Amino acid sequence: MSRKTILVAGIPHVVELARRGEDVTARVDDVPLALTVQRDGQRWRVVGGDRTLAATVFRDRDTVWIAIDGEIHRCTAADDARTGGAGGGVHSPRVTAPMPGKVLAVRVEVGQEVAAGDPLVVLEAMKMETIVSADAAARVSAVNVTAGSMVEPGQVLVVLEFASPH
Amino acid sequence: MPAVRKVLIANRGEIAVRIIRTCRTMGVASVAVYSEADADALHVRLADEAVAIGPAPARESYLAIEKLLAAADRSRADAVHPGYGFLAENAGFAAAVNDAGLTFIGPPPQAIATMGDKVVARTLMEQAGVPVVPATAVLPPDPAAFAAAASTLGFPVVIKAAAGGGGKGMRIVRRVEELPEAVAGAAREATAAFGDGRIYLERYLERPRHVEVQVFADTHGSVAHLGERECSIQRRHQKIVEESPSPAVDAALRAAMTDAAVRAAAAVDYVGAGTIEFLLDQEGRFYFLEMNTRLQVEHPITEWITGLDLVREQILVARGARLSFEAVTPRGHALECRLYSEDPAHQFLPATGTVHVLGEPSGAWVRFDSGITAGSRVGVEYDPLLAKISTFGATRDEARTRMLTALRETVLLGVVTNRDYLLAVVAHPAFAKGATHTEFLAEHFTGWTPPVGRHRDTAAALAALALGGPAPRTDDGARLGTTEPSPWETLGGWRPGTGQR
Repeated sequence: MSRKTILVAGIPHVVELARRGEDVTARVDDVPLALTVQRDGQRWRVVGGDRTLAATVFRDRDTVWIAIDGEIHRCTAADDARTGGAGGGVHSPRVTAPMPGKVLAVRVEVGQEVAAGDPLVVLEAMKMETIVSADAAARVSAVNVTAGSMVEPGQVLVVLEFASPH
Repeated sequence: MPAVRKVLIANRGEIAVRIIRTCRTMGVASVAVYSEADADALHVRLADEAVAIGPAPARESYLAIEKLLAAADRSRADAVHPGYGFLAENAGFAAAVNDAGLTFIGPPPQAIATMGDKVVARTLMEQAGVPVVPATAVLPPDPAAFAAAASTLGFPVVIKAAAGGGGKGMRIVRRVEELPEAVAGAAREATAAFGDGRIYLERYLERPRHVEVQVFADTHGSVAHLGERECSIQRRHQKIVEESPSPAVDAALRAAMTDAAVRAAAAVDYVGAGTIEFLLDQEGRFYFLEMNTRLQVEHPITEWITGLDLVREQILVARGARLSFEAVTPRGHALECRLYSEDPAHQFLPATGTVHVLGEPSGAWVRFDSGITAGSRVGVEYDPLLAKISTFGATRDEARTRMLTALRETVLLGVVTNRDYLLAVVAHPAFAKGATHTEFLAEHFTGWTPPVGRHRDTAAALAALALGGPAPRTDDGARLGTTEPSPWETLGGWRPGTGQR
């Protein structure tokens, strides 16, 4: 039985899977699921109980797109390091670009103190501006972009050092 | 009298495709233009001819007037259709087209210029007896000047671009402290979007409806209207769901609004298709917002309820024909949803990628306008509108039910879209009741997360199954699918032995 963490719409699900031919026995977050899956390229026929559903499955690197019964699910393989530990409620010190685009302005310098909500970087894509701001009070420890830089989603723009909680 | 036998379409995406199709039904030849990013695009494949006009950035292609005119000359087109967006409301472009001896399928440059300057337009509308929202003249981009004006108008206020449209350069301000950032941002965004940074201040109406009237004028002085559309469902001032008629407009109000709209169009000696946008407040008073001097994105819903092809009417008017209709009696109800490549769960940030799978909705009274096919790349260069889904019914609820079915049938894999968000909006009880206003999404959909769905567990299992197999090849042939990209892959870009980079 293989075990993977799959993010569906960003929410982790632990999937345990055993396969014999077309028969798939799975546990998704400990809920058992028995399916018969016939695969023909992107067209999958999925039989569960007395219901047969046609699914369209497209894999793009670590992401699997699944259309089934009018629903669209974007599923991503998660490595356990990403889902297991540091998550919930902790502000990320690395402020990343939420979208691809161009840096219009950088509003902070290394060493500067910022308050929650202070603008850090102004991005533009498709002619709309988005202001990336600080999650919480912090000191700017690095600025990785300058006005005019093109950035990809997830690229680190600014690194913050949060004040230690009292 | 201009012939209009061969039309160059100075646009891309779904609107270029839509115009090409009407040209074909009229026996008019079509010429597509395309940037390097669009060489394989649907509009290029559908047109009778296509001309390359330069690199991906719009200002070097779809906004480059001299390249478009050269393309028209080279292809011997006798007319230019600007679509919407890009140069559609650029009076200089319309004038340049006319000066080149071509027919501009749109209004005279003077009408575009007048309505394009929101401040001039306001004054003219006041003179024509069309109600307007209280506002200032253009102000210097100085927070103090805006603060003084805001205290006279009363908060909330909205900063707008004099050259504006589409929500670009717009900022709603509720408190005086927000003014400095808002003034600077609006001016910057206006400069970037329109090449004109002039901004002004207007009183902001709380929870109004956005109701607009489609007008049509010919070169013989006739102006007619084709009823109203309600477009209150907006995110970041961008419409996402539209309908016609408006659930809030009764016969008396319709008569008053359409009268005002016809007066507004007549006041600028308008020709062709145009839209007068109004804000309708909760007391049933309406105010002129702006005129869009072009075909609107949401024109299909007017086509549904009138039985007309608005692009065909535009071409007929451009040929100098009289309006083919005087008074149309709309029937039924139509809805449109705009499918965008954006992530509604993350502030509607634009999403990019390749459309790997595309399932289009169909069936009775369903229309799908799109500029994409499976394999299309969705980049950051252009507007994130992928497709428009419109439905018709004898009643609003019939059209709405069809829309829910059509949206579920719309399957796009490979790029994040707002489909599930649109589904949730159209299914929402307040929308079902017609209780719509421009704050609808802010009130009902803040913090929206994608639905769990009935099959999320199955999807997770299928994904694990798909990920368990061999890694698929990507377009460029690189072997991928490992969780940890190897340095050889991340380096990229080298082609050993060819001497190229």
